[in-house]
Amino acid sequence: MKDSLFKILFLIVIAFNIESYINIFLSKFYIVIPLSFLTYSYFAYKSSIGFSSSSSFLFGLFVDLISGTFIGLNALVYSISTYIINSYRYVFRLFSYLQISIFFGIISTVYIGITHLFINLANYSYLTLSISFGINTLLSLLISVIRVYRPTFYKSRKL
Amino acid sequence: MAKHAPNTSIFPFIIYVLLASSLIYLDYSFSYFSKTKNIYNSSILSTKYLISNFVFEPVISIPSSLKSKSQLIEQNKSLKTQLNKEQVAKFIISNNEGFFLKEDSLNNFIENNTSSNKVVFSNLARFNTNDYFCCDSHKMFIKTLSGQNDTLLHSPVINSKGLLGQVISNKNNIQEVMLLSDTRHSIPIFSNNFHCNARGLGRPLAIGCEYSVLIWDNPIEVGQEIYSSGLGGIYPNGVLLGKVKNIVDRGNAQREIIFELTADPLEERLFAIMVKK
Repeated sequence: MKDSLFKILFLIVIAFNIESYINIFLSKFYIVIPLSFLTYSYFAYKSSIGFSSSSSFLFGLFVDLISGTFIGLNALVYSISTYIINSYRYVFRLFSYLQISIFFGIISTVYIGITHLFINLANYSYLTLSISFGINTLLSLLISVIRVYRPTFYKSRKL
Repeated sequence: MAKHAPNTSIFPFIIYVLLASSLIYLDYSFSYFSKTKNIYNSSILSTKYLISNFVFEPVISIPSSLKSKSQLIEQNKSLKTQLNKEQVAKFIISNNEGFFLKEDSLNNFIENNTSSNKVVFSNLARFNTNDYFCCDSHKMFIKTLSGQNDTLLHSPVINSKGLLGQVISNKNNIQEVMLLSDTRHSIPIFSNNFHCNARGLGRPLAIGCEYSVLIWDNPIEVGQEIYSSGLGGIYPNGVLLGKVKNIVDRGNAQREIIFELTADPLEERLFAIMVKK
């Protein structure tokens, strides 16, 4: 099913607000979870034809505006990550869940690294990056595993 | 023949990456989009304020008005505001020499337009606590209780515990305040004979400055109190800012002093903007 633009924007805004709340507590443990970026990446990954360069740029600009960071920062990272996701679209089919989760862990760490270069240079921490990599990989794995092994209350009769 | 994935032509992505990079450069170096951001923020906050005042509050107050408690609630609210104002006023009176010129009477400084110096009370409109705990940018948005005022730009902002920062933009009656702990902020301070420009460290309640041991030989100790020197022309002179938390050796005869600020912006929702004419 094709996801509407409004749905993606709405979920990014929701994810951004949740991220703003949880990261206050998580930052004490050197953890950053970029939920809005992961939400966008999920839709870019899920899309059958992949997001175009213009749409990724505009999504990034939108996030720049709502998050109040430097204009162009998210647009840059979103464009690069969309290109990488699009390029590996067919390769992902050969990957296991663990490998895809590691991929999302890596791109979210790159996202944290690049954004913190601009917004948190005074307290730039490799410890935060390393721990966040582990946590984001684990989170991605958890989400993919839940999708497969969730309890089923209704069995489809379709063949 | 191998099938290519869609939307993988690198050329449009390179164009957008270059465009995004130039936008970052313009914003980072020249704050080119600060006006756009201010308009966006003030319109979002104004909308939020209007919705909460004219939609949510009347709906929420229906049960209380039915029980004839609305008067008591209003009274409670006004007493709370008055108490907060008194606390801020107490702080100003105890630091009077730093804040006001001596010819100004203390009795008429609060929101009095005839006074040459005045205090404008504001409520918290928005505080991005995520940025405050994680990043270099420490800013908050406040809204004056008394309506539009065009003379607030670059004025210091306080709460009942002390100095918090200064107003850096004032649009639609919403003021953006840069806190002392923001990495782009700097405040001249002194303690005994030691003077320096303390800059924000991007961490809550932390400012710091560096000095050369070749010039100053142990000028300050851990636990010593620091005060604003008023040399920058923005902040008043002689207001207690905090204490020395730590002194770190940076090598090449350089030492960094880290100060812990007394006034916490998260503690209170009522602030005062000090306006000097």
